[in-house]
Amino acid sequence: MARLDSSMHPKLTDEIVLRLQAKKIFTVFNFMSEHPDKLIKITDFSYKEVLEFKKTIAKSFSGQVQDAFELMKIEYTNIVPSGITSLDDLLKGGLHPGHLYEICGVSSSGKTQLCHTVAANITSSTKSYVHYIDTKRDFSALRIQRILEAKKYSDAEIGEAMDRIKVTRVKNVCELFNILYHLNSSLKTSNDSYPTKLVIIDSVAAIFLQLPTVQEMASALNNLSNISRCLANSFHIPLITVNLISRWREVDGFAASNENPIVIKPSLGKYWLHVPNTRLMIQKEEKEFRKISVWKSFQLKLNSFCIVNITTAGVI
Amino acid sequence: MSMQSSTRQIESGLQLLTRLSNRPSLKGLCNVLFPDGLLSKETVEITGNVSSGKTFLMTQLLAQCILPLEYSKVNIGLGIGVIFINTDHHFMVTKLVDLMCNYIKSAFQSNNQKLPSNEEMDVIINSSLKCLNIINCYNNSQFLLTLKTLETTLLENYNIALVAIDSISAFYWENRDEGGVWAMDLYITNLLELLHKSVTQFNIAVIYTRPSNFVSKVQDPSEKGLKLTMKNINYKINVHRDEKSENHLCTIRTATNKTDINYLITECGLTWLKESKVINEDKEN
Repeated sequence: MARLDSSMHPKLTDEIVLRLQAKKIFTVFNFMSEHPDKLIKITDFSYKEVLEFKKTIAKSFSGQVQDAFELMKIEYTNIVPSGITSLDDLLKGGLHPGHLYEICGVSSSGKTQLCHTVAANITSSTKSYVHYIDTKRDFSALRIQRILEAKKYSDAEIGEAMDRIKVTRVKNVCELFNILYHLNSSLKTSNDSYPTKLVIIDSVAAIFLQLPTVQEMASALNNLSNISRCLANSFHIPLITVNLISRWREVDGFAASNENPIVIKPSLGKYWLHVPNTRLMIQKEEKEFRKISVWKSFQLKLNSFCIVNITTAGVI
Repeated sequence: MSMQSSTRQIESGLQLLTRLSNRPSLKGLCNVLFPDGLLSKETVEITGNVSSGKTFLMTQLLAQCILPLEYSKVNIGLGIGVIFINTDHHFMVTKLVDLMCNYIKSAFQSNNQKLPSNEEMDVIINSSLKCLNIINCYNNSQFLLTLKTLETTLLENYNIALVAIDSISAFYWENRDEGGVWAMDLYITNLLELLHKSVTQFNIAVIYTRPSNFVSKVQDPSEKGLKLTMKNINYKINVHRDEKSENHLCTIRTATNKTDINYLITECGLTWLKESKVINEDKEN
């Protein structure tokens, strides 16, 4: 919660902040909830100044009003094709701006392969940056190079493309938040000729499942969804997260029976179920073929799917 | 002295009354869900499990609200302004536009009128989108302050008759982390109280969504307990998708009635199948 401080308004000095705090008015929300008469008494502001100050706070700290027409244009024009034809067809043209995509699958189902391919495809075709946040130390530059080589790019082009994939390795939740907040402020000042088109977090499950309690995990995930949505919507880019799935069989007591079907759920708990805009499930088929199906979406038809193949040239 | 120096407009009690009460009516909004018409000042809760169509239903209602009352003598929508507080960011304007196009087409078709040209469609849609005030919130304090300061937007815009929130529970865990209440039901009740306080003097209806798994663990399962939770809510709409059978069932509860309706999710939104049963709970008791 935003706390009152003297940088908010030239008239709000440190002394007045202290006086407000003495009356248990700490946050901007506390300030907005108080009656103007009481605030006049504490701050010695005039009625007009109190109202004006309230207005300034409301403007800078409450949600930002968006223009629906502008949003429509942004949604139509900022779709980033993943470069995998069948996947783009499934996603109605590619990755949509402002969306959080989640790729779920069991271990070795090809989640990281898919992320590598999408990163390589997007950075090479759009000449823009991709931020790859690696929590498992799985990122392989060699793999990216192979994918780009298969696309017949020259060595110089491959070098430039690889330079545009910015990899950050994080070990825990705090480091993840640091990099996301950093991205949020650095993208604001970045140069528009080389925009960022995608952020990938591979994987979310790896570091969030380390947290000791369910409650701590839910709170941290709430923060993750806040900052991710802010990042994705402010800069009109998609964000991909990777998650595991868990398989449960509901049993009564100790009597395990095969009658109860196995329930497949994304990991990370109940809260996270509703967070991603689109959840894709990737499953192993015969040989190196994989089935990618829509598990949750507001935009796409549920259970529609596409088949991809994992090759040395990436996922195609 | 400072009071007098502030610039305030003086108005008569009558002017005040008309200004505060003269908001457009929501009558005619989805007559399947609200057969008696949604009244201003009423509150609607939409719950549902994953991908059951909560946001889609919300988008559908928004489309009906913001489309103009009439275009070349064909009745299309309600022509009212809406504040949409976007906390989950699942909402898509492009989807809203698709739904609006469908509504316009079917309105003209059912009146046996020639469909409007593409340019005319664009005109209708662009002017409708002006009635939609989207407010994006990315954290708990933004959300609370937005609810607190709705008054400003409402005063500036007499056409607004609905506040919509998707979803209301988005910042529960952040709030709890900051020392907020633990009970999920109480959290919602408190937010509704805050919201109702800032819209109470305006005749505004409220619709919000909430995931169906977002409920307090300890609940009074009896009908009495259920009625208590209906205190601030006039309609409880639960949309449910059965993951195995792919059946969709919508349950509408008011203080006295319970209605079950099956539905399908299509490109045109939630399509209602025939009404299955209406149970009048008062008679049962």
